[in-house]
Order: sequence, then structure tokens, then C-alpha cells
Amino acid sequence: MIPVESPRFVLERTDAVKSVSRSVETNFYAGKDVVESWIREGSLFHEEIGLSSFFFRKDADFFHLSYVSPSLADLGGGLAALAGRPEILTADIVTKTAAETPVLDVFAKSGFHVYNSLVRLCRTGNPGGGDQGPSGDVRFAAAADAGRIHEVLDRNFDRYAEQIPSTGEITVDIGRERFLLVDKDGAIAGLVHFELTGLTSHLRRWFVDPRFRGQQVGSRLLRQYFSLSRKAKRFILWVLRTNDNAIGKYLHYGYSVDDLTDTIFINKENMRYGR
Amino acid sequence: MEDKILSILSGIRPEFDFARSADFVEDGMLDSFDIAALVVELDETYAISIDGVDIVPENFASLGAIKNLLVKNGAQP
Repeated sequence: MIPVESPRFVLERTDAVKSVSRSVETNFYAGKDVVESWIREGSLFHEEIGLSSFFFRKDADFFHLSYVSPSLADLGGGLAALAGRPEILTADIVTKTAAETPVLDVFAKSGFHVYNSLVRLCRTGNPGGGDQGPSGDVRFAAAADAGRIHEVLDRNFDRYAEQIPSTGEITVDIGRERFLLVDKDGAIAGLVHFELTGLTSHLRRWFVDPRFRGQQVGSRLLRQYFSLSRKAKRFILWVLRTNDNAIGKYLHYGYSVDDLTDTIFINKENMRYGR
Repeated sequence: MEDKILSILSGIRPEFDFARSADFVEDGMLDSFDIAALVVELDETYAISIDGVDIVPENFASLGAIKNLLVKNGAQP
């Protein structure tokens, strides 16, 4: 495993795989800006196994695994070599829910185990609402909140399945007014993390501290979120398939289950979700 | 060719009016998963295989960019 030092290296390795096969198998979709930020942080690594290129992104106590392979067979060989490593490796594979998905079988037969899966929920059309910024006890997060937000996310979300942003990433998104907070008794009672891109609004996280549930904290946050996303025509989010409570709430707000599933694999059988 | 591309785009994201957008990606009309679905549709429709290295957002940002991509990958108008 060697550190990746330039985005050009990623392109070169992709080209090398492409040179031996017209059809490439990959789950590496990060854009140039994102790759550059990982390289700046020193968190991106690479290893070649067989004809496949594997990229590893360090995150807390594990690595997110991405691959660029000329074939499923070559991918399987590489995964089998990686599965027994001491490092914790996770891989996200996004597929159409109802489609045949041979790549999932390749992971399952190469020493990786399904950890959990996320389903995408979508809503078309804006529910309406005011056109003001945050009001009442809902406010945009400030830079000083970044550490507290990270603590809340790390404590309440699943790091292997839900891609918890680093404090640095949180700080950047605070600067872009992508975090809404409600404070109570000196604690973060609830938060929304979202990303508005043109006509699409992505609700990345919606959280209410169990101590403050039943006090409409969540609904006030979500109303403000919809208000701030009033120009959006499409609303999307990903949620753990096992989180029936959250899925029920999103259905209440007009979302419906989309046709994409993100299956998360892990190389440690004893760390499978729920164990 | 442009009408057919528009039809495919509308099939993937019917809630958007692609004819009125100058940049599908910046306008939030296509994300990376939509682009993956679009590649499959374009491959099937034009009987081609779009190069993996060409699957970058800028090649799907407009009708013109998609048309150029298809021509580069051997699609017949």
C-alpha cells in the first residue's frame, strides 16, 4: 500500500486497467476535487494486485476500499488477497435494487461479508414553506460547532456504513451553510446536514438526540431544511435498510423508496452489523 | 441525435426539463448514479461501449457534451 500523491496517478492507474480491457469494473466515482482533498490529508493509498488497482481511503480505524478492475475474475482475485489483511476494509457497491448484480457475488465469494445496506429514498416536488432562513431555535451551525457536531455524528451514526465526515469536512460544510442546529440545555438537541445542488437537495443526515424527542425538534429542523431547499425539485437521501423508524418518518414526509441500493461489505466476519 | 438523448434523459429524470438547462450537473439534474444509468442507456441505444475514462461529469453536462461523447465512442447519428 503506497500513498497516492497526485490525482494524475489515479488517472494513470485507471488508464492502465483500461489498456487491458475495454470494459472496466469500478466503484471509484470520486471527483477530482474530492481526490485532491484526500491526497492533501494524506488519507489515500494505492495497491496493485493482479491487473486491478485498489484505492484505500483512511477513515477513523478503517479504510474505504475502491477498485478499478479489468474483469470480475481479476477483481475477485484481488479481493481474496485483501480479505485476510489485518486492516478493517469496507467497500460500498451501489446497484439497482432489482437488477442482477454479479459484483456482489464476487465480494461474497472472496472473503468479504455484507455489513449492511442503504436504500435511496426520493421525493419529487417541493413541499412548500417559507422563503426565510433559519428562524426560532433553528440556526445555521458556526465553525466553533464543528467538533461538537463530529462527536454527535460519531456517537450516533454507523461509521462503517454512513460515512461520517471528518471535523475538517464538517467545517467546510458549515462554511457553506449546510448544517442546521437546535441547541437545548447546552447540547445539540438536533441537526440537519444537507447539500443543495441546483434542483436537487440531498439530505445527508437528520438527527434528534433521544433526550429531546417528542418536542418537535426534528420537524422544525426538517421544515427549515425544506424551506432552504425551496428551489429544489428533487429530494434524495440514503438510509440504513434496517432503520425502519427513520424510513417510516421519511415516508411520512413524502419520500418513497428509489431503485438504488448501496451494499456495504466488510472483511471482518465478526464485525458484521448487529454482531 | 439530440432528440433521442433528450428522451433518454427524461426517462431517467422525468421531473426535470433538460432542454432548458445549460449544465445538467451544476443544476443538480444528474448525479453520479444518474450518470451511471445514463451510460447504460446510451450504450444500449447506440450499441457502443463508452470508455470508462470518459465517464466524468463534464462529458454529461449538456446535450452537446453528450453528443460529442457518443460520436467519440463510435455512435452513429
